[in-house]
Amino acid sequence: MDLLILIFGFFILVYGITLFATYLKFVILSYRHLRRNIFLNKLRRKEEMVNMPNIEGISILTSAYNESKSIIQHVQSSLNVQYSRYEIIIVNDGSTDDTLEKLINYFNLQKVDFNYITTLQSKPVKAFYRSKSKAFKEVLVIDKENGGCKADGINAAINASKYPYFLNIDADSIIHRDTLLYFGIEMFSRRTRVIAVGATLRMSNSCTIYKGSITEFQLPKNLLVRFQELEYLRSYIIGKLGWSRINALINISGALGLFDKEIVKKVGGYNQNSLAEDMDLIVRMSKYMLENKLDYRISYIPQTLCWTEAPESVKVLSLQRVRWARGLVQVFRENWYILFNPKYKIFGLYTFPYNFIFELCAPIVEFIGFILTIYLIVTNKINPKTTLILFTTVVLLAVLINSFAVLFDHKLFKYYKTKREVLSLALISFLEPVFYHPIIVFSYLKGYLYELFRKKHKWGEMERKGFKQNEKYESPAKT
Amino acid sequence: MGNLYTQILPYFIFGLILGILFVYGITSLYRISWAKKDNSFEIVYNELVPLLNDYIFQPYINNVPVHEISIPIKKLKSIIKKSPYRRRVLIILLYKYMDLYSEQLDNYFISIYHKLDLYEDKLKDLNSSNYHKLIAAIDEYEYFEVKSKPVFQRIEKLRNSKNLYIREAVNYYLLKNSKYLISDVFNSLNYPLTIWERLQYFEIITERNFEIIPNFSQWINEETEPTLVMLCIDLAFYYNQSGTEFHMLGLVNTNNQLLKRKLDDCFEKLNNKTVLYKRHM
Repeated sequence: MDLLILIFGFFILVYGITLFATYLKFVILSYRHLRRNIFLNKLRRKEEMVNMPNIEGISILTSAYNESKSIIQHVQSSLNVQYSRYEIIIVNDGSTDDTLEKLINYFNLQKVDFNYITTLQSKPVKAFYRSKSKAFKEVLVIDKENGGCKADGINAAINASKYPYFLNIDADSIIHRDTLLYFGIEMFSRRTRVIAVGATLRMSNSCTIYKGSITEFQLPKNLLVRFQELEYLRSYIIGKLGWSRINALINISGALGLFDKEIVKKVGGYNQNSLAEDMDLIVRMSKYMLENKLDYRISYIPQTLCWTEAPESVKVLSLQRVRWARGLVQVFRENWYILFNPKYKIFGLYTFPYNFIFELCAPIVEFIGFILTIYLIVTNKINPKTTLILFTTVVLLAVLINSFAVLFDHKLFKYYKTKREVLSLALISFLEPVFYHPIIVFSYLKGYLYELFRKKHKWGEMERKGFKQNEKYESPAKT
Repeated sequence: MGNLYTQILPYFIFGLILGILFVYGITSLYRISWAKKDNSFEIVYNELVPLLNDYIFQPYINNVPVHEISIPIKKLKSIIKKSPYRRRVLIILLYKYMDLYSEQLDNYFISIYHKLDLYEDKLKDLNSSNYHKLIAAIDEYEYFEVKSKPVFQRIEKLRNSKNLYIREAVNYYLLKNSKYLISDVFNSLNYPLTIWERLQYFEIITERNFEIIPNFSQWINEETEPTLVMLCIDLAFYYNQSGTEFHMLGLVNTNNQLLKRKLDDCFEKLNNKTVLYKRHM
């Protein structure tokens, strides 16, 4: 037993050092990527792009299921975007609430005929709607039978879209008015083909929104949401930015991403059976490009372009993470042959192994470590002082990485207006490993068990509070 | 093992605490520097905006012809003084106004830039080894149409730079601000163009009145870089140059996926046009 414990101890040591070294490497990589992004934005391409008539068009696609509380603000935010060629397609995925009625009334919609060609599979479409008002001529609403997942709705929207690129956003999100410009700069300024781009997401829970635009930014008041804000910041600004620098991203968030429609169609669109349809799509797109020996890039930009409603209760957060964990297992189960396969270059030799060892296996390793530590303390084989030192080291390492995320965020944005907000972020960095991280580990383990025993997943309805508005307003389509 | 941890880790912990304090210290410095910058920007901004409003926008709104609107050179000079920061704020304002009032007042704002010798600030950047600075300088000179001999000569020397970003910026400058022919620039484009480059070349060529528009079909062949072929197809169609379709037919067996898609799109559009034309006959 003692030998086993010793071996596990060494394993944890190597595991921890490798993980920390990788994070430090990502800090450097993300800083370099950040500098490139700042440089490109100084060239004022965004401003030049606003009025370019011959620019590539982008379709903004949203699938909504029971999003009555946020749908109008969401569409308003899409309508606010600055770009010369775009369309907005909203799919009402068989909502049982008044999502469709709200859209019809607010945008003064009427049924229209539409030349819909099914290239990607989805549940049957019932009707198409367009506004009678010219102010909303870019908006197309598709009413379809419920497909049981977001993927089904987005596939229908892709079928109806007319432009070569599409932006996929969640219906409970608000996007920045320059979203398409920032994405456009990244998509169009590379010499290799960019097949997908992602950007940073933040929590909309404590922000004030007026006519689809954020008018007041605030650090979330709810502690659980605040933890998520910090987690997203670290994951996007350090993690994804670093992965993007070496062109080895495995995921573009399902809440916001720009995609090359041709490649998405070639891989069969979104997978309705996957619980992590966003990661699943990126893996299939990467596979397609690598197997066909085509140069490609999956990019990420540091700008915060989307604010999404985060779970405010442990129950809903846990449900969300259980789904993510199951999705992660599915992706590895279906693509196990990519692991350490040189045919898939950096994706097979670095991205997949890293995500397998440090994402998929991490909750298991942490859980075993936790049990073992308790055993060692109970059997007096480790003294409390050593435990405390080890624990403090791990917490401080996490805090250091978080502090880099906050610093890089400050290099670009001025979202946190007061020192108090920054101090608060610094403080919760210390609390995160103790209070928040165990919830995530527990949820992931639960997800793995569900997946192991093939428990049927029910697409739960996340409790929505809707956005905090500073004024009520009438539909402009009727005035 | 336990001893090892208790001996080494306290030093490591100390290092981590210092690291965290250092990173948050830099964050605080960022915040202080923002606050200072915002403050001084606002001061200069509040001096410049009313002046430009009185001298430029008021007469413009009252329909005074643009060439009759005078430039308040002395007053502007007294505000920006020799301070590089104040000069930068004015340049930012000029960019902003040129975006808002493009075409009508473009030349007016460009002449403000020239009459105040604002281009002098970026001259040293043209010799910088930092390519970010160098490109930013070329970009500014392209935007404000700085054509002085030393600037032009320095930029022209960078035409064959190994850095493709620099070459990109140089080509925009040369096409927009010199007597360089389109063919001179196009013949040097032997590397893959970004979508952005294609958009920029298209816009510069179609917006600037070039005396000589070449026959773009000369680049629609298998030897030319596929991304340049795509740009030439767009330009040939824009200028209604005959015979483009025949040159395109010679490329239908290309292995380049993007070019293939471009050709498919073009042939589809041509086919639709032919069908419509026949229907109307």
